[in-house]
Amino acid sequence: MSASQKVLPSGAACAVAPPRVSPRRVAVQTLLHRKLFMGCAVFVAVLLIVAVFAPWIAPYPPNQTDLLNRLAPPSWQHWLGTDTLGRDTLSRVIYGSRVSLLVGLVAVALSALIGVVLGTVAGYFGRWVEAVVMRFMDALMTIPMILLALTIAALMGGGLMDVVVAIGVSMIPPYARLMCAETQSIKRKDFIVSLRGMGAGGWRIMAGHVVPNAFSHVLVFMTMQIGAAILAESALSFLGIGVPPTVPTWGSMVADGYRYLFTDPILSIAPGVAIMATVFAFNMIGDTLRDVLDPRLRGTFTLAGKHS
Amino acid sequence: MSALLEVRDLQVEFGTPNGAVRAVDGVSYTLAEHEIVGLVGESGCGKSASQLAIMQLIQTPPGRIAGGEVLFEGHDLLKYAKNGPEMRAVRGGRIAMIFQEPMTSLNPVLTIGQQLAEATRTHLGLSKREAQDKAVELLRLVGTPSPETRVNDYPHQFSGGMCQRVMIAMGLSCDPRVLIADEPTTALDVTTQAQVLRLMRELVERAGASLVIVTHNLGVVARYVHRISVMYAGRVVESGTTKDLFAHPRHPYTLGLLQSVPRLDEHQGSRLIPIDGLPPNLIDMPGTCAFLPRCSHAIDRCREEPWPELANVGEGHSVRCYAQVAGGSA
Repeated sequence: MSASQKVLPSGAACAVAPPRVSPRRVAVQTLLHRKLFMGCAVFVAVLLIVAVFAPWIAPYPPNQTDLLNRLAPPSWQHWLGTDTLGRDTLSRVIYGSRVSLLVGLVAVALSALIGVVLGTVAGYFGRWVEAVVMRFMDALMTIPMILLALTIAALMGGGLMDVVVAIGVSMIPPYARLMCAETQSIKRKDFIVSLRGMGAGGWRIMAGHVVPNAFSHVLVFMTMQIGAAILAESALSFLGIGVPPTVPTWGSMVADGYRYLFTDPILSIAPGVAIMATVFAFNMIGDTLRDVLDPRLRGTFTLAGKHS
Repeated sequence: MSALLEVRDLQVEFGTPNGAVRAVDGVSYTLAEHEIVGLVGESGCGKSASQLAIMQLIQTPPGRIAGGEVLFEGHDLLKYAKNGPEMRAVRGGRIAMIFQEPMTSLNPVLTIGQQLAEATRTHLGLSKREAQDKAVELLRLVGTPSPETRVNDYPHQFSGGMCQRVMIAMGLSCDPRVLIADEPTTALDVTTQAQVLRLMRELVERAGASLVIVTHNLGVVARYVHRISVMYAGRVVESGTTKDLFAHPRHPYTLGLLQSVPRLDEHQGSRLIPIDGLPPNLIDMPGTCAFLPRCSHAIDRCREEPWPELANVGEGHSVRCYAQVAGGSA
């Protein structure tokens, strides 16, 4: 190792250090050189802009019906045609991105927050705390996600926030499991003992040291779960327990369109492709982040080692 | 010199499937102000466990502090709640500890500066800015070149020796009264060991603190410590000033340790004398002297009577042995 040779002989021998690049910068550089990652990142960015500025971008209001122009094929007026009520498909796909992204991001943030806190606490304190929390998580896990979400959404009446909560709650267990396992391995490391020796309390160690050490794992898992959350929302909408029918969502559009799959396939294919592309983009981002943020690979990245 | 830290009859037990193991069995010692004390013994003799117990850092379960007192600044540290605010204020603030694995004793995902700042912000209540400045100053103090840039580095960018210096800097960051160094040089190159020890002595003297060095290597610490306590099987078997102990070791174990360390002033070709056998199994301790099976100086009394208590044999020199190697042949 050049670092040890540089430093060991005497304190003064290494007054001139070679130029060093911070690991964070190396990681960013590596990300910028990955074409697939950049493509997906740009796609997600565009998607966010479209969702935020939907009223200005969409050519028609999402619920404006044109009964004379029902089930119209793609044309210059309606790029992706219209549905059974003569609503513009493109506008509805654009508006649908709002719900999909909102559900995807908020549900994932919610489940990650709760799951990480529960998992960290369970893993750190161990014993009965762990037993109680993790067995509860196991119980939650035995219920299929869709079924759990269905139950919660049905209980709460079904609105946008209910869908978010339902999906968020059903996605907590994997985070708790991940963090619990991570915490158990991290809390046995030497630096935790050393921190306790410096007078750090349990909460400080958990929030300041355990979570940051596991953060790259959680972050990667989150990006993968975004795809899952969007799909779950679609599934709920498809089953009719999602957001109110007046709100366009990709899932409900697929559900509405499948009856015309042979005559007007674009009604289902357009939102379906939107779901697929979004899920794919988030998954690819997660995949790349895992490669770059894994602490074991920290500092070993060189720009020469890039691949797209 | 008054006693700053006084450990009395400290006992630490570890639960195992085969019954409780008494890893530390009645260890007592005192540490005076500005004093440097060495705690020497082979692996598993309870030297690290006794130090962790002082800070109440023994993991329970399986560990348990079974008895004793640790008097520090007029308080018994063992009476504090294990993770209560008083104990946390002592840890790092009044008594700091340096651990043996410098490379793994630092959090890999935080910068050196953040970790140094954390201690000073907690104990001294510094602001973020002040703590950052203090971190740079501390790094300079322990001889880190270009500390202004190194403070933003991560631990993996430091060598073992540099990490150990960071640990020392962290230990000293809150001006503790006592610094406990647990095998501070074990993971380091021989070339760096002396540097680190010298640095530690210098800084401790300058800060007016006291230092406990826990080690298995008598030779390494000999030049730096004022007094040495030799531990065997959870007990202190001999304790005295460094000079006295090296010149006139009384316990056969101490003698054995000294003879097994190579010396430069010996004739070429003279052989090192190892201590035969293995340390006793702590689960199944004999009532007699624990060193008896390995002892070549044993007399009949050793086999018949229980392990004796520490007895004074000279000015500040005490030993736990019936046979007592007479006056120094090391």
